[in-house]
Amino acid sequence: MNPGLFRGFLLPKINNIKKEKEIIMKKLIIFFVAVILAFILVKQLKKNRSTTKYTIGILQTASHPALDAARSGFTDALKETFGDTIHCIIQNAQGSIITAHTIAQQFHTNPQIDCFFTIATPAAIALSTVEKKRPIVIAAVTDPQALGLIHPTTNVCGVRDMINVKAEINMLAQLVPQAKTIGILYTSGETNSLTMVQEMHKELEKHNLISLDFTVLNETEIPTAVGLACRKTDALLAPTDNTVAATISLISTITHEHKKPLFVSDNMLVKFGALAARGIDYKESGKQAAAMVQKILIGHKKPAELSIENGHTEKIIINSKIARDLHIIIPEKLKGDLLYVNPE
Amino acid sequence: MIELLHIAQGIIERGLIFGIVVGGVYVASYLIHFDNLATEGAFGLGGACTALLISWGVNPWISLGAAMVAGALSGIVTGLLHTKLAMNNLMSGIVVTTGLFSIMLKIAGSNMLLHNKSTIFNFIPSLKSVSTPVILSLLCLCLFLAINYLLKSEIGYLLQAVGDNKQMLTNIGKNSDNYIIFGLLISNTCAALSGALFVQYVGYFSIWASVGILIIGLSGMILTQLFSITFGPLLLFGSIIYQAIIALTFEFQLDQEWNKLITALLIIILISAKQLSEKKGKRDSHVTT
Repeated sequence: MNPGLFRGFLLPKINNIKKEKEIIMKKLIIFFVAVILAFILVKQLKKNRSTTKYTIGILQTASHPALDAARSGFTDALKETFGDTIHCIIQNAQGSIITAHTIAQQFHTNPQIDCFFTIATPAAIALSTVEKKRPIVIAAVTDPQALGLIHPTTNVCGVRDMINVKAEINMLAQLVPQAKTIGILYTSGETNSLTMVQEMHKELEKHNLISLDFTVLNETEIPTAVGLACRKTDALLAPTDNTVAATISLISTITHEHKKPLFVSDNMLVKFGALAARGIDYKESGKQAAAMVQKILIGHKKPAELSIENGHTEKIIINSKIARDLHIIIPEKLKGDLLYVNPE
Repeated sequence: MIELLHIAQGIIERGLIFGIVVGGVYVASYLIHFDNLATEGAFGLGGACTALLISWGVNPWISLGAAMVAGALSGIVTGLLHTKLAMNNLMSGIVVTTGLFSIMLKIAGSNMLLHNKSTIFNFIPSLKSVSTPVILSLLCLCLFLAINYLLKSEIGYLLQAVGDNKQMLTNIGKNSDNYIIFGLLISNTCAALSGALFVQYVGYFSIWASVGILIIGLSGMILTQLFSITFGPLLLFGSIIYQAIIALTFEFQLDQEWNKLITALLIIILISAKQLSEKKGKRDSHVTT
């Protein structure tokens, strides 16, 4: 067999592989150059915006009413105090831990930001593990202690959204004295809910009430869980839970059908059909956080000095229509702290 | 400019970590034509295992190994569900991911912070920002070269045959079931390793971190296919490109509610640029002949 013939057969193939690799390399290089240019361009465009004195980086964990309220409370209060001298960069992780970390890293590399504001636990964890120097103000985190964020040299301070569980259960016992079994609705795997639920178990026991847990993994499981809870219990109770907040209209429709009272821990949700709440007003939390930012930037206070404040939980919010429908009698001693809302 | 360097470093590090998932997704989806929904479960499982072991003070490299073993087991289970119980591809993956959620909760809880425990990145704390990309690159390259070598062997060849031409396997007397299980084993091991690396990288485990990992894997794979359809370290580039697109979206700093749309548009632009250049290439070659 003529070896020349064989080689003639193999050579074009080898050349093709080489050429293919060259083309791939060329495409990769063109691509990377394009991306780098795009980044440089965007950075330049953003640089011209530094007419403001302070820049705040806001990282919100997800889009839902409570967290949105915290953010708007924060930005409104900032505008009042700082006016035009402050610029907020707002980013939203849309519920993804990976995105939260990505945004946190990019915030960390941006030297223009003076202070950070994070809303909800995942954002707080993401940013605090990446950023150790500049001040971080947190909100809508139930247990900052458990996250290891509180120590003498910390750069984290903020507002806790842990409610006064004792007072809330007291309110529950007074508004529905005939209830014997209470169903607690929350997301399995949500740390802040778990902390609150454990407290709730303890307090309910003190009032000789039986508590049953109804956990869901996500929003699609809510109808089943709530339906079951309505059949097995006399009243429903929910901690500050993201899934509950997102599906509150659905939950209240089901509880209304079964004529069962629904108690929540987020004041804003009452107007969507819950009976009552003695919980957190997230907009207020945002305002408290903004006040902390003012103390840090203008008062030159350190976050370790400001530490963690509790949210304001003195008000009781009652939905007037639901109260009427369920024939709830409001005891005299509660009437002082009350705030009625009309349903949406 | 230092800023850009830091951003680039973040993109490359994330790209490398998720590039391992891309490799696993490639083996499953492209080679054995099995869309592996157990990827998310395996990613989380790897993370949970490594978080628990590190919190116990175990050597972080051993915890990576343990995570890979856990991932391999989940791959075998997925494969068995499909081959022995004749469960649909997608269903096997769904069932495994669902079941693993509870297992993860039991292993590491919903959240576990690593605080200052030693990971594979922080053995010399001051060098962390340098050691991280170096270790990651070496690890990923080794892994990909190993899988590449495997794919070029007889086992790899038969693995590819499972997807394209199952009949051939039965013709030569091999059991295609075993190769499906093997392919899923590789895929889930990659996902678990990636999950473990992610936990060590960010310093905490979260039960929700694995949500959306399949999309990251698939996007990385498809973006790599703009350049080449063979297996190789190029898959890492695809993953890095995807991370670059996401990072670019955040740099725009527009109304954050538009971010997802912007990411989608950037990907569309990228893919249509490739389609256009292919068409142009075809036209050019047409003209020259």
